[in-house]
Amino acid sequence: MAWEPKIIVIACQWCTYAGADLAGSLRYSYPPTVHIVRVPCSGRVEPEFIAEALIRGADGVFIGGCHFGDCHYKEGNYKAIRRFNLFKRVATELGVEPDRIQLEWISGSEGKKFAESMTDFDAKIRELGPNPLKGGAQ
Amino acid sequence: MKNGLDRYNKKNNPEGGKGMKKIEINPMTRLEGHGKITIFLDEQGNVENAFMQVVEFMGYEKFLIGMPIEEVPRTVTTICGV
Amino acid sequence: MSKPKLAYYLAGGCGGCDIAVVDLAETLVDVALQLDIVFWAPTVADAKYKDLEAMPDGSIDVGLVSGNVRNSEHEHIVKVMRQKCKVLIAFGICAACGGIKGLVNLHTTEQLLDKAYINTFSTDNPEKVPPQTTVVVDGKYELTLPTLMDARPLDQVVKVDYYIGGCPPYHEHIGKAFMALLSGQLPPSGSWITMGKAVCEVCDRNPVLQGKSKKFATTVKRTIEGTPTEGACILEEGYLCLGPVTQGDCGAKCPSANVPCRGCGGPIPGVKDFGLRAISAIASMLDNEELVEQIPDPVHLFYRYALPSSFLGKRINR
Repeated sequence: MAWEPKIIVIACQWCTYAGADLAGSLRYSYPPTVHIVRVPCSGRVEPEFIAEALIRGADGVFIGGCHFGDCHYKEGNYKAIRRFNLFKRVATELGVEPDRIQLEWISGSEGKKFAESMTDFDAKIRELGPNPLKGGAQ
Repeated sequence: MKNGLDRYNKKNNPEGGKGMKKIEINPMTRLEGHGKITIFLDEQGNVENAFMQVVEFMGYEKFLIGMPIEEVPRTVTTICGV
Repeated sequence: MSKPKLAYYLAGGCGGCDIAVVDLAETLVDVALQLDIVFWAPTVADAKYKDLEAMPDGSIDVGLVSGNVRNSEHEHIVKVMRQKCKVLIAFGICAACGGIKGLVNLHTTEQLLDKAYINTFSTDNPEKVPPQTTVVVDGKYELTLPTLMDARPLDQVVKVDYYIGGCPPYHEHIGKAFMALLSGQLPPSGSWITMGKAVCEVCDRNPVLQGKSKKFATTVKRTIEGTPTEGACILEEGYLCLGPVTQGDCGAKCPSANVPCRGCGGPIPGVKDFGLRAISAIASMLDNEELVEQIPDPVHLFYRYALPSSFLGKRINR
């Protein structure tokens, strides 16, 4: 069986998850390799989630949240991007391929954008190949 | 010019160790650091030669590179905590 | 009734934790009279490894191991310690999480040996010989050295019963831990022996304890760029103190000396990867995104004590 990527999407319930729902209602299709996990806010996302997902075999991790100013909890998405940027900097220095992790702001009305982002990310991960980190660094 | 390292060179020792009788004192104690003393005995049981080896290696020379200079004093005190 | 037996082994550490136990001073006299110290190598007593190997299995009540596991000799003796001791404690942050010496995992053994023995301007090694695991001198004297491996914390090699953090653990905390050990009042096996409070909770500079609210840091500064204001929180001033995620059994000694905490006490309960949780805490305490880019050398900062125990454990494709 050919390798199919496994992509974990951590989506904030107010914006990105609603955007994913809208993509479904409007019949925009996106790849089935995407597995969506709902969180109350992108500010809930700890770098440990991303690292654990990569160690356990996820080929790509995508974080989705509200645009600046739209966060239901006011500042959650600001914290999310600061944590994400610092984590990406450290993870790149430790040898993780930086293209495997991505953060994007997708609002509840951007169903089309959600589908497009998923398709693009899936294509990028297919190009990168299977995650060499599965099971911990060798 | 004969280099001091020649006696350890594998090219000069093609037959390897002949299984001489030896006493190993491991570890050296009441200090920080791991050391080992190996004493080789001849057929009469007298000491023919003795060697002291430092059995550990840390690697601070490499991983300190890139660290801000003001953090280095707090880091290198862990080379020896005694 | 015979006294409980104690054994102490220093693996890939610096001996500071051994001296911290000796630092107990007067408490040590009370404690030492109640214990029978059967093995303490190589720092304090004149015991040899074969003495430890000769003891019956399970005959030692408490074993302390400090230092991480770095070469094959450490691995062997640590496994012997696990066999001979009923309770094994990872003593100090090197044994618990990998420690500063765990930073060697950022490089391969070849790179480390190359820098130490060959490629430094002050090294005189014309034949470029690194240390060998076996060498035969003059054709008949065979000498061996253990094999070097990646640094690992103790629990990646043997099962650990308790963890005590600190570099070294503060002597009052060790005293309390020993008293708890002797009286049998210990937490469940596999947990850290700690108060469970973060450094911030015991720090005098904490604004919340003074009735004020915490503010975001508006700059990022290196410690050479200024002195923290008396009585003010070091993290708020931009010096990147890791107090929020570190265990405070030391009583916040470093912040009280104007020095930012670097995380030697180990992670607060419930944290799997200390470096990542520290990244999360520090990034969320900064006022804007540009400050994140200004942090100098984040890997050596956040992972200073806990790289081997992290999810990745080391740098990949080094």
